[in-house]
Order: sequence, then structure tokens, then C-alpha cells
Amino acid sequence: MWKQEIRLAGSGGQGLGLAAMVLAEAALANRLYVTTLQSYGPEARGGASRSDVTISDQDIANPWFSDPSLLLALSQQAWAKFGSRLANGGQAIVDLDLVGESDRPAVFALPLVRIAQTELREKLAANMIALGALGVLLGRIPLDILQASAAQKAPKGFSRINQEAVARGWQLMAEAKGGVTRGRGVGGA
Amino acid sequence: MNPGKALLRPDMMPHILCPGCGHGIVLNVLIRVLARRYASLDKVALVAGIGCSSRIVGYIDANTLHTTHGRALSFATGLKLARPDMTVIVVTGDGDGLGIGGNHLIHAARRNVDLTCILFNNETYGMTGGQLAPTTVTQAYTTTSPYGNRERAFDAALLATAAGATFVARGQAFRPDLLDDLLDQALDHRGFSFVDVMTDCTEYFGRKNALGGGSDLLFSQSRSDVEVTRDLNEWPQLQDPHGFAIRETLAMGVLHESDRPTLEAVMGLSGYRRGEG
Amino acid sequence: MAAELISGNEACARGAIAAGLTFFAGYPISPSSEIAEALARLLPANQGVFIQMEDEMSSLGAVLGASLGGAKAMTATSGPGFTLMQEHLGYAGLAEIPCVVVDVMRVGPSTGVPTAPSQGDVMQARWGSHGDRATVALVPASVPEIYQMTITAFNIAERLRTPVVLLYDEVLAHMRERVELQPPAESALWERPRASAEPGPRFQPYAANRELTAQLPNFGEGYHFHVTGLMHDERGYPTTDPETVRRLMARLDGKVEPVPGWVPPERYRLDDADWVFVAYGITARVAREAVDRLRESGVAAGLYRPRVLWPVAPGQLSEQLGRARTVVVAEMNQGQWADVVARYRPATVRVLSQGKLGGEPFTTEELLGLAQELTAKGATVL
Repeated sequence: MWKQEIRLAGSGGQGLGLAAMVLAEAALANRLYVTTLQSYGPEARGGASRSDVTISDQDIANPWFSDPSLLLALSQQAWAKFGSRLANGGQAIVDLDLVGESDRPAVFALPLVRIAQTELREKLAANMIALGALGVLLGRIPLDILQASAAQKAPKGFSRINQEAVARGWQLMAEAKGGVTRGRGVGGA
Repeated sequence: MNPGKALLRPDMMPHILCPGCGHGIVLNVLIRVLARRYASLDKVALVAGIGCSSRIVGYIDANTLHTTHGRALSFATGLKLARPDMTVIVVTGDGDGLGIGGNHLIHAARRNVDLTCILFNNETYGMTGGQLAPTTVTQAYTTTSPYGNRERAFDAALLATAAGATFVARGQAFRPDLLDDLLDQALDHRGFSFVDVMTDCTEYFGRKNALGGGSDLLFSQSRSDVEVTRDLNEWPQLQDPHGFAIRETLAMGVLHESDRPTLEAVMGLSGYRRGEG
Repeated sequence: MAAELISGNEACARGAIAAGLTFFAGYPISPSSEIAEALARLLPANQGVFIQMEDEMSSLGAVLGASLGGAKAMTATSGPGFTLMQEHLGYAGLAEIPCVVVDVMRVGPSTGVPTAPSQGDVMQARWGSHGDRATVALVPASVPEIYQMTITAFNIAERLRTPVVLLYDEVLAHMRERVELQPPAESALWERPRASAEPGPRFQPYAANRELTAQLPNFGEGYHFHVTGLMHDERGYPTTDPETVRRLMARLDGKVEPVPGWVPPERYRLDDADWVFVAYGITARVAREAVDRLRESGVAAGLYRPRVLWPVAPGQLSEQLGRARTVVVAEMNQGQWADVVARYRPATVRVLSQGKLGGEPFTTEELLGLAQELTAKGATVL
């Protein structure tokens, strides 16, 4: 059985809830089993944001987990809270500029927000860049399906930029995994 | 013969009301009005809460619903929205409608659902033994105000008006003729109509405050020197043996009337039509 | 039917529409509000009525009024609101008014943790209203099952003219899961019994049918009758006669007895299990995973998942657990249903209660740890 327990954590307004939905719909479209759970109530507004997605090739018994196998942290607070809870063999993606030193082997520090701003001229697209990067680590959902889901779930006018962002994130992680050292994967920065 | 008598359920008798209680007069007026207005009560529902007044719906041979304490208006709201073709009349008391059910009253008035709410106001909790009600006047004695009521009473009609009722009237058991007219107008009205009916509790309120028997209490609703007329009628000042005012002067008649779309109409519910059920 | 990803609360709202819901009254409360929000959108488009009431008492009151008028009606709430609805749950049971009440459980008592899951309302569902009464409470364990079970709840409510409570926790309410919704065939929807007698002075609305259920017509159909929360005879008239009261109470109890047979429990790897988890709702999903892991390590583990918590079918329970040696009842409360299992267990079965408080579901590791600890202590051997 293959199963990944994915946590997307950061600040309210970064679009992580949407990213979770895009990821989940893409998993569904790729005939995988998927469940999502999102932080709820006052926690979901303003401050911290957290979305959990479980994806498996079999029926998911338990949608709730404490230790993610894949973690995306887009704030220092999120990294502080969940970085230490990475499951054995788990991997993490953090924002290079928003999260301070996290020199662990399985942690990929990528300039997600910076690329969104400088290349895509849209800071809000960082969530989709992150999603593309996550897609590479997941290894079970093809890029085109992720892109289609991102386009379908996009707010009005964001369809194209979301697809571009996913592709850019995918490329970024592919390079990072290919041994490119931190920072050098940054396009025009 | 009372034209409303055929509307009663004889096998529910004897009724629970005490000798001298004003509620029977109000029931009498109500069945006369119903008999005059409706050829059949097939589409008329009477919904009541808990208390002496609320028991009277069971004596009427219609769709009758005796609900929980204070909540008749919520049942009636659901019934009316589900069955806008029916005429829904709510019977409540002052403790039921203004105490435990006060919140439901103001919201029903605010929503302006096409209901008619008749509040039997005897200024006390009769069924439980004559306790302090939100309508008990200041200084009056009840079983839970043995030193006299320290609180101020609600003016039910003002409350309903402020909350948005589109027809508000006050009548008395003492004047069935005027009450007949007020209930008729209330049923004519499209929207939330509210009638505060001053009645009496001889057994508990009257006795506790040395106000005399049933007929004394009934007559106390009238000022002997002033002709009672609609729109200009007053609840007389009544003093207990120590000279305290037991009853405050209250305006009678139609006190407020306005035109506002009903909730059913705003919701566009099919089957909703004005007029007789 | 296309696969889609929806939350438990949305599945509940859509299940209700599929069941023929025409009236919803409710009051906002976390974590159930999405049901009201969905129905505020869906009902007017389906010739139904949605109304937000001033509190939970009036919400269920309005539901009961609408139901008497012939509507299929429901409300949804969470623990604190469920507490306020107890008055009308008792009323609906005694006056035999069909309705569905959804309780999305959160951590209590009092305001507790409004956004965290719990299974703490199990006993409230059973005995929350004053007096003795019959109760029907269903517990789904997945988003698709919430959809199906909402329909089942309406079926039971209508057929037996009784309130039916649907209990699930905050995790199931908010988790999104793959569903392929299959609207039920018309024939799969049960209707309330119709009065067989003609209107008239001898009409008896509370004369029961063969399923011990009263056959009240709807209001406005030409029958004149009385509905009351007082103890009543078959005419619906108030009574204080002890024998009439006892007969009525026995009938109300008796009519819900078939329910556990209509909604059978899930038996997962139970046939040869001597180590059995009893769990429902979200906890059952965790337990199912624990069972698989225990099986991998050679323990003959199984899961008994009731879909009906109330009424209890003692025969069903003892028969299903008869082979087991150790039964662990895992639930997110202080052991509310464990007491039931302990009461009806076969004499040879040892029952242990494992509660979890605090607003987090069990983890598989916790249940495995528990199993190891108990096995080490020899708990599987009496």
C-alpha cells in the first residue's frame, strides 16, 4: 500500500486551503483515494492555516494524522510547529525566505514566494508553485493533471497563471532533487 | 344557542378552568368568531403552549396542537411555512408568551409570518399556583412575591409593536363584544397579528391580592363612570387593601396597524393566499 | 455517477435533499453550520423552505410544526444546541412527529472546544430529555455513509413517526472524501403511515398500526385531532390513567426495536477474532486500520462497528461478540457506549473501555500500543 499524509501549513491568506483542494481533486482525477481535513474556526481566519491531505492507492481508513509524511511550511511558525513532527522518512518543502535555517537532508528550501513575485508577478501564486514542487515528491500525480485541477479550481482570471505556477514549481523541485544546490534553482533572481 | 358550540369537543369536557376564570369568556368569543368566519375548521390550526390558556385549544374541534412551554410560536411558524394554505392561530398566556417564550414572540413579530397570536393575560402563572409573572404589576402579591412584586411589568402590546408586529390590539374578558371585533380584525389582517387579552385569575391572583371573586375581578376591568369604547378604553386602577396600585391603566382597542409583506410572501411560497382558510 | 470530493456536512445536506427534505429550521453552531448553509442554498431551489430560527428550541419546534403539516423536516446542531433541543426531542417522541436531528459532536461539556471532534453526546442522545423514552440514533463513519444514513434516518423517522438522531463528529463533518452519490429510487424512500379510518368524531389518531406506530394524518387534511405533549389516549386526549400511560410507553419502546436489524453493524474480520475493537464513527476507521496491523503481526483482531447506537439490540450484540475473548470499546468520551457493551456482553467476554478526551481522534499507533500493553498483561486470557 502506498500512502502519503501531506500537511500544508502557513498563514491565512496564502491560499493553502485552495492548494489542498487542488491537490485532492487531482488525486481524485488520477483515481487515487483521498481525504482532506482543514483547520477550522478562528484558527482558519487570520493567523495560522493548516490543511491535511491523505492520498493513497487504497481506501483510507483514517483521515486524521499527527505526523505528516510530506510537509509544506510557508511560515516560520508553521515550520516551528510541524517541522519536528515530520514522520520517519518524511520530506518537507519550506519557503527559502520565510523559513529560517532548516538544514536537514530531507528538507527542500525553495524561494517559492520570491519566484511568484519576480517571475509570475503574482505573490498569491506561491501556493501553486509549492503544489507543483509537492507533485514531484509525491510522484503519483502527473503534471498535466495537477495543472488541470489548478486551472479548474482557480479563482476567476487565475486559471492560466495557476497552471504556469504549477509547472514552475515542478521544474524547481525537479532541479532541486537533481542535486542543484539551494538558491541556484532560482530563475531570474 | 351559541353558534360556536358545535365547534367544541364535548368529550374533552369538563374543562380545567376554575370557576370565575376569565379564560372561558375568551374561549367563548373565539369559537363565535371561528364559527362566523369559517364554514369548516379543516384548514384552521390552533397552536398553544403550556398553561391554563394553552389548554383551551384542546376544547376546539380543529387541527389542535398543544406544544411545549413558551414554544407555540415556533411550532406555528414551521406549520405555517410548510402549510401556507392553513390559518394558524396561536393561543398563549403571559407567562408562556412573555416569560419563557418571550424570545419567540419578538422574533415571530419581526418575521411577520401570517399568524394570529392571542395572549391570555392574567398577570400570573395560574396553572402552577399563582407565581410572579413578567406581567404582574409592581407591588402585587403572588406566591413568589410574598412581600410584593419589586419588578416592573411588561406591556405586551408595546413589546409586540416594537418587535415588528403589523397588527396589535388589546381587549378584555369584560367586553366580549369588543373582543369579538378585535379577534375578527386580527384574523383579517395579513401578517403577524397580536391580541393582548386581559383576563383574570380569581383563584390565585385575585385571592392573593384580596381583589374579590370572579365577578368583582371582571367588573374591575371596567371603569363604572366611563363608557367603554373601542380605541379609548382603560384598564382601571385597582388598589389593594394597603392602597397600592394593583392594576395600571392600559390602552385598549387596536393599538397599532401597519402594512408589511409577510414572510411567506417574501419567500414566494406556493399555496399562500390571503383570506379565509 | 461522477466521483466527487465533498465534506461530511455537505453529504448530509445532499442526502437530506435526496430523501425528500422540504423543511429545515436551524440555528448556527460550529461544527454543523455548513449543513444549514448548504440547505439555505439548496432548499429554495427544490421547492422547500429554509428558515434560521432564534435558537435551538425554536428550530426543532418549527421542524415539528412543519412535519405535522406534512413536510419532511430536519434540523442540525452540535452539542450545546442538542442540549437545548432535548425538550422537543422528548416532545417529538411522545407526540410521534417524524423528524431528523443531526448532532455534529464537538468537545464538551459547556462551550468546550467548539472546533474539535468528540463522541461525547452518545448518552445525551439516549437520555438527554427528561423522562424515559425510546430513542433512535445512527452513527455513520464516512462521508458516503453520512449521505446514505441521512436518507435512512428520514426513512426510519417517517415510517415509525419518531425523531431520529444522526450523530457524527467534527472530523467526519469537515473531512472531504470521495463519493459517488446515488440518489435513491422513489421506492427506497419510506413514507409515514396514512390514517386508515375516515375523519369524524370517532377518529383515533393515536391508534397504532401493526408496527406499533400511530397513524396521524397531516394537519389540514380534513381530520380534526389533538396533538399534545401530555400523556394521551388513542384519541390524543390527555390522560393520567396509569394503565394508559404504561401502554403508550411500551408501544413507543416497542416500535423502535426493529431498527438495529434494519441498519446492521459492520463486521470487519470478526469471524475468527478473539481480540475485538468495538468502535463507531471516526474511531472505527482508526480501529479498522489497527485491526489490519494487528492481523499482520499475527493477532486475530476484528472490528465490530455499530451503525445504530440506540436502541441497542442486546441479542445482536452478544451474538456478534460471542466468539471474542477481549473486547476493547474505543470512543472519544469517558466510556459512554462501553457501559452498554459491558451490560450485554456474553459472560465469557472481557470488556475494556478505552476513552480519549481532548479533541483529537485516536491514532492507529495508540490503539496498537494499547493492544500490546494489554496482551503483555495477559488481558486476552481470562
